[in-house]
Amino acid sequence: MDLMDKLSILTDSAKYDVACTSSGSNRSGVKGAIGSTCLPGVCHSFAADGRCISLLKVLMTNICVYDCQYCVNRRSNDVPRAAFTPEELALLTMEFYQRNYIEGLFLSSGVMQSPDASMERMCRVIELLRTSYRFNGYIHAKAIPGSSPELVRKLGLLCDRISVNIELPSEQSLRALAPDKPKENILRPMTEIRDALTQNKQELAVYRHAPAFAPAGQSTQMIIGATPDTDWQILRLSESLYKKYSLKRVFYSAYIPVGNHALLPHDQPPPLLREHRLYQADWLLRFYGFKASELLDDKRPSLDPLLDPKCNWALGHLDIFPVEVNLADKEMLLRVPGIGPMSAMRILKARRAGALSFDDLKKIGVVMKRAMYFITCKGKMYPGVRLTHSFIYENLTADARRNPKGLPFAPESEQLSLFPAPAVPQLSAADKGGEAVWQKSLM
Amino acid sequence: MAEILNVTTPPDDYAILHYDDSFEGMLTAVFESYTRKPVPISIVGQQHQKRLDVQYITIETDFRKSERVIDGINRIMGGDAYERVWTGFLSCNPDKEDIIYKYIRFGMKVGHKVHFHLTDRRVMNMDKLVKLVGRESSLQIEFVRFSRMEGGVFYGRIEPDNDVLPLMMPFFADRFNTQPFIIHDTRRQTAGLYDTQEWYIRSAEGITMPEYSDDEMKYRALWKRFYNTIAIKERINPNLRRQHMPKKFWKNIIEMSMVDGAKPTALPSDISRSKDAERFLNPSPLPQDKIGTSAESQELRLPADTGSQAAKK
Ligand code: SF4
Repeated sequence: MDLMDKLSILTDSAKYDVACTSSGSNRSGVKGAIGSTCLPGVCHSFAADGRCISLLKVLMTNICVYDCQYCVNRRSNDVPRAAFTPEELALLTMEFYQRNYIEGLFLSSGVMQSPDASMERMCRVIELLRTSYRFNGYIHAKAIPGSSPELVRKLGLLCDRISVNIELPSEQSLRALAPDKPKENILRPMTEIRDALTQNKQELAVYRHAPAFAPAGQSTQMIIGATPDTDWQILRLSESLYKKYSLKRVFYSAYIPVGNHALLPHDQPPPLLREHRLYQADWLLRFYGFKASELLDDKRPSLDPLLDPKCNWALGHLDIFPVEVNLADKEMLLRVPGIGPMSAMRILKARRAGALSFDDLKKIGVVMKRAMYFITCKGKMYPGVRLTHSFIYENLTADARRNPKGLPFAPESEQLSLFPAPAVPQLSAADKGGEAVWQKSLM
Repeated sequence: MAEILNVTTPPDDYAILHYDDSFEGMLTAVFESYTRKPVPISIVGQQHQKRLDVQYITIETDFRKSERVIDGINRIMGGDAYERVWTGFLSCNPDKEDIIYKYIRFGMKVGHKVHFHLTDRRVMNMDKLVKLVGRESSLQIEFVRFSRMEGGVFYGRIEPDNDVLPLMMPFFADRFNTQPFIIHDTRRQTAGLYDTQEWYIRSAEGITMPEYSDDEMKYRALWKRFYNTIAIKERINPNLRRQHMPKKFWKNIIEMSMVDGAKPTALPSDISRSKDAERFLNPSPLPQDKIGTSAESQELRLPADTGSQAAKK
C-alpha cells in the first residue's frame, strides 16, 4: 500500500477526534533543532467543516482488537485497515512541518495486539522525531487505556500534551458500549499522568533543566449525544476532571452516527448546538469561576439552546443585578453577560483614567447587546431597560426565536423546543443498576 | 469653524509636516513638532495628496533626533508604547502617521498612564492600528506555505495589506533555525531571507530562484489529501471556514489554491526561474556589510535599531 492510501485511511479514521489544538506549550527555537511552540497555539488551516487544522492528526494504525460501538475503527466494522511505519510517519511530519502546513503531530492509535504494542510503536515515531530529526515542535499523543505505567511515562516525556479519552460521560454508557474498556483502564493512566505532572513541576522548581513531562498538560475527550447522559451529568463530570485530575482541557465531540448498535442513535444529525453550549459552559467553569451546580441542577438538566449559559445564569439571579461597572470587582464583572476576561481587565484599567459611560464600555469591547440589561454606569440603568425576567428574556432571545437558523451551528433539522428530549435510545434498566456514574468513581 | 478656516487663505500657523516615509523620518518629524509654535496639526508621508489650504514643511530625516524620540517614548511612555509605535508604523492605513503622531503627543503628556486611557480617541485609534497589523501578521504566519526548492531552500509567498514581513521573520527564523528560507512579499516586492544564521529584508529584485525540488509536488499532494480527508462531512460549514480563513488568503494556500482546479502555484514571474542563474543565497546579491545601513534602511522600511537583526539567538 502506498503512502497516499495509508494517509487517507489513517486520517479518515482519526478525524472524529476533536482536539486539534497546539496550545499550552511555550518553547522557543533551539540551536540545531527545528521547531518551536506558542502558548495559545497556532492554526494552520481550516477544513471544510470549519474546524481548525493545527496538527497532523492521524492514527498510527486503525487496526483494533477492541469493539467500542461508537468508534469507526471497532473490530466488527468493515473498513480498510492500514498502519504507518514509524519511519514514514516521522518523515511525513517533518516534511509537512517544514512547509508550515502544521504545528506538529497529534498521534493516537487503535489497539494492534495489545495496548502496549501500540504504545511502543507510537513512542518509536516520537522518538525518531525528537532525536533523529531534532524536532522541537508540538506533539500531542493519546495514551491507550490499559497500557503499562512505564510506557505512559515514556510517552509523557516525549510529548507536549498527553491525553486519555474518557469517551462517554457515564460509566453505565461505557459499560454498555465499550465492553473492552473498564473504567479503571481509563482512570489509571489519567491518575499516573496527573501524578507525573505534579512530580515534574516539583523537579522543575528545583532543577530548571529537568526533562519536562507533557508541559501542555493532560486533556480528555467525551462523545456527547450518543448516550442519554444529560448536560448536567456532563458538566459535573468535567468539573471533577478539572479539579481532581488537573486537566487542561475537556473536549466535547458531537456524536456522528458511525455505529449500528441498538443503543446508539442512527439518523440523528450531530448535536452541534448542544456541543457549542457545552463548550460555553465549560468556558465558564475554567475562566469565570462558575460551578457546574450554578448552571444546571437535577430539575434543569439541559442547557438552553436559545440562550448562552451565562445569560441564562444571570436571568436566574436578577437579585444581584444591576452591577455598577465603575465599582464592581473583577469577579463580579466576570459574572455580567457580555463582559469577558479581556473586557473585564480593560474596564479595570480604564476606570483608573476616569468613570466609564455606556459609550466607553462599547469602545472597550463590552458586548452591549447582552450587557445592557445587567449594568449601571454612574448609577444609571441603560435607557429603556427594565430589570425583569420576561423583558430581558424576550429581548435576548428575540433573534433566535425569529430566525432559529441564525443560532450558532443550528442545522435546519435540529429541533428547538426548549428542552429537547434526548433523541437517543435509553439504556436498559439493567445497565442503570447501581447508579454508578463517573462522578462516583472520581470522588 | 473648520470649514471657515478651509476656505480662507492658509494662515502660517496651519502647518503639516511632510517626511520621507522612513521610520526615522517620521520620528524626526515628531521631534520637530516640539520645536514649533503653534504645534503642527499632523504628519504626512509621500503618498499624501497635498491640500492647498495648509502649509507643508518638509522634514529632513535626522537620526540623532529620531533616537531622542525613541529614548523619550521608552522613558516616558514605556517600552510597550515604543513597541506599539514601531508595529503601528507597519500599517497600511494612509493616516498611520497622523494616528501615531497624536498618540505620541498625548502619551508624552500623560506618561505611563497612557495605557489606562483606553477610551481616549487617540489611544483607541492607535490600538486599532496595532491590532490590525498584529492580526494580519498572525494570519500570515498561520497561512504562509513554503515549498522546498532544489538545494534545500524553502520559499514562501505572501501578499499582505500591512508590511508584516519584519514581524514574521523573527518568528520563522527562531522556529526553522537550521532551515534556510525566504519569504517573498509580492505586493511590496520585498524579500525576507534567512540563511540559518541571521535574517534580513531586502528588495526582491535580482533574486533568482532554483526549481522546485523533486519531491515538492508529492508532499503537496499528500497534504491536500490530508486536508480533504480530515473534514467531517456531517459538519460541513463553508461559512465558518471562510470566517477563520478569509478568501483573500486562498490563492497562496496550497490546499485552497487547488480547490477550484487551479494549477499548482507557479513561481512568480518577478522572481525568475533559471537553472544556470546564480543560486539563491549565493553571497553576491546582498553584501553583508550593507545590511541595515542607512542606505538600505529606507528600502527595507526597518527602524535602525532593528534593521540588522541577527536572528535573536
Ligand atoms: S480502542 Fe479506540 S480505536 Fe479501538 S475501537 Fe475502541 S475507541 Fe476505537
